[in-house]
Amino acid sequence: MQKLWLIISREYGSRVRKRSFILTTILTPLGFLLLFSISIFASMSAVSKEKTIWVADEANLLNQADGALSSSANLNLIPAPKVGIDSLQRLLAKAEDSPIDALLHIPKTSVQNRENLSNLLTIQLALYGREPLSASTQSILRQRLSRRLIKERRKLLGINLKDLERAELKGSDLHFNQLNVAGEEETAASAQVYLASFLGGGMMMLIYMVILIYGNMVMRSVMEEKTSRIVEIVISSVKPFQLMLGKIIGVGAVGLTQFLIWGLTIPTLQLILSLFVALPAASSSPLPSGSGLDEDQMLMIMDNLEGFSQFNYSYLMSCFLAFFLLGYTLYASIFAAIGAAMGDDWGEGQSLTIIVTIPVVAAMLIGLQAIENPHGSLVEYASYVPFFAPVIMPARLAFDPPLWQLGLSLGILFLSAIAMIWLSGRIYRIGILLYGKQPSVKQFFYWMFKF
Amino acid sequence: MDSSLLKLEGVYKQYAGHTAVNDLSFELSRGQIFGLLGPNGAGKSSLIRMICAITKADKGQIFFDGKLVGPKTQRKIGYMPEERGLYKKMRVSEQIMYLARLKGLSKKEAKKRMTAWLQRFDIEDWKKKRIEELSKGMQQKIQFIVTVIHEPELLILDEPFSGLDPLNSQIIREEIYRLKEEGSTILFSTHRMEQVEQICEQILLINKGEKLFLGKVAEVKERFKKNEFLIQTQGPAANDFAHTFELLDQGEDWLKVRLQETQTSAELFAAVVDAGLPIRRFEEVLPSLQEIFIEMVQE
Repeated sequence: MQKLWLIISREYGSRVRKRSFILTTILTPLGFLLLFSISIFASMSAVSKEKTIWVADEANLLNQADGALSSSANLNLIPAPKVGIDSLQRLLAKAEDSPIDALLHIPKTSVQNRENLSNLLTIQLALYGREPLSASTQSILRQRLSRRLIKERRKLLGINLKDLERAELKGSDLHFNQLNVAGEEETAASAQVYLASFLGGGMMMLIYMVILIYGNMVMRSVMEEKTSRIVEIVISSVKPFQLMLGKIIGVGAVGLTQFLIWGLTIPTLQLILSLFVALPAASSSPLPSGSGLDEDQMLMIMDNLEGFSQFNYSYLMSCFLAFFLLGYTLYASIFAAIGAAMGDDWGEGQSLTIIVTIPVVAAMLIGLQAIENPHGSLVEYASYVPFFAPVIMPARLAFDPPLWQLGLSLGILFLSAIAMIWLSGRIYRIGILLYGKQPSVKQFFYWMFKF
Repeated sequence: MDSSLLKLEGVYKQYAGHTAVNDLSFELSRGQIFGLLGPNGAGKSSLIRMICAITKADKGQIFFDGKLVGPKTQRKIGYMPEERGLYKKMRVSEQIMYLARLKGLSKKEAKKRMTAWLQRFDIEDWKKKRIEELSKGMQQKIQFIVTVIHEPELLILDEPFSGLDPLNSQIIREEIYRLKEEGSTILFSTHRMEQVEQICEQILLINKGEKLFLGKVAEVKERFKKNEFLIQTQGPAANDFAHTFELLDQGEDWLKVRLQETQTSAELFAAVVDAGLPIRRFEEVLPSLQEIFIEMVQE
């Protein structure tokens, strides 16, 4: 046990202290931070400078509505000073001397009569600033105006506003009542299905990446020991199986560490960043400025957030972790055996990795199916194939697969992982001492099953 | 206490249809330097791996200090393989500590011994260097330290001098003698037979996995000597006296002569003196291990 522990801590320690590990571990969250900030600043830069706009509202479109003239973080709407209703020229001249960016003139004719509703409506926007208004500022203005205009038009057409509101549908008002074959109600709401795909897809991708990245790391580590010939010295002190196991556990722990660090830092950085960005904005407006969201979209988001809280996260996480660990073990031991079996020629040996890549990629393809149709028969049967299960089952997890299916899949995977470690151990202990030519497939089987 | 440290009984090992070690038995007593000799592919490395419990014998048994070899006996053996290897990216001190602790030393003990060894080789300054930054000779010293740091009862050195420069070669040779003085038993394996003639007390000659000869170097030489004598003279070597002896070869100032079974070296010496030849050197020509080996294989 003590030797195994020594091997694990060497594998772990030497990797964690590697410059490449430290760099990727630090740079990845920073990269996320950068991406996140770029996307925020890109959207903010469009409305970054506060624009002050005078509103000469002859039609009383904005003035009379509550809040329509309120200012948000980057847009400052002020009623133009009264200089006499008819003297737009004088107002323009006065505006020229004032520190404003634009003058919005809403002519009296904007609120039309029934007959000319379809006419093009032009609203004059006189610019005094150096730059034209950005697209997002324009869109805010347009939204406010159009909302008011629609209201006016409804009035004009005699549509009862109360009735209209009652007739409208909000995002959450439409509910599909899905019945399965047995006539029982399937409870998943559309938003939740969407979220489940999102969660499942994420977990599947993560395991897919872990298997390939860290499996490869195990393989390289085995090859390194073999080609540098240190392995013969090490196994004159420990059993080859111990060495292999220590390697798999050590590298796996490195992977877990990295994910833990990312899992903690990325959301934290995101939170800090969003606080910085959101605080000033939130003080003036409940909606992120310039996001262009209308009420319905907001409701949809609220719905989604509600949907997120409907998952049983501790259950999801523990299932995910089980598949993560078993899947990694299964594949890492195959990678270890391949590393041991390779000849001294790295390039030649690399072709052997196809043995592993094919099932992982196949699992990924079926997993994509699983997100579309989590209870399909292909997906279900593939969940029992140990090489596919670690990728496919996490994709299905958020869709609440039947417990017995989950158990069966996990059970088969568990037994296969144990068997694979054992078989790989047999290839490993012979392979690492064999220099020169790459062994044939026939020899592999001989090593695995010869007693 | 049994004086034999290592005992092999009918050991047999096969790899993919080829027999590496065939029914080999021998005993190795404590405190000696033992040579395991044979050409490349004779089965030396296979044999050593079984002694180190790295691989298992297909048939037969290997006892170390009266116990079957296994994980427990591994701690008492120090093995330096022919193909040297260290973790290239690891620092010298980490490397030594890791391998020493795998041999069962406590952290404290490993550290103490490492410091002592680094001082002995005068390479303390190299502690923090990575192996890949060291010269070949320096790496060899580290390799030697990790082999002996746990003070093994049996030290197995596979081609210990291959790739060593004369200076390092001498240092390692001295260390081997010192370890022997301190009670270690040393098993040398090499195909360069001239190297061990002076060092080894006992040798085992193997070929194609089979035992050719086991015994003292002097014994085998005695057995294979051909009664040949070399006479070196001052000035030209006349061969007038040689008609009663068989003259094998002759140079400007030397003669090589073979005695018949009935003749003695005293008779030859007397004949040379009688012939009035000024003798610089008179010696029996003993075959080298290499020649003996070739002769054995041909037999």
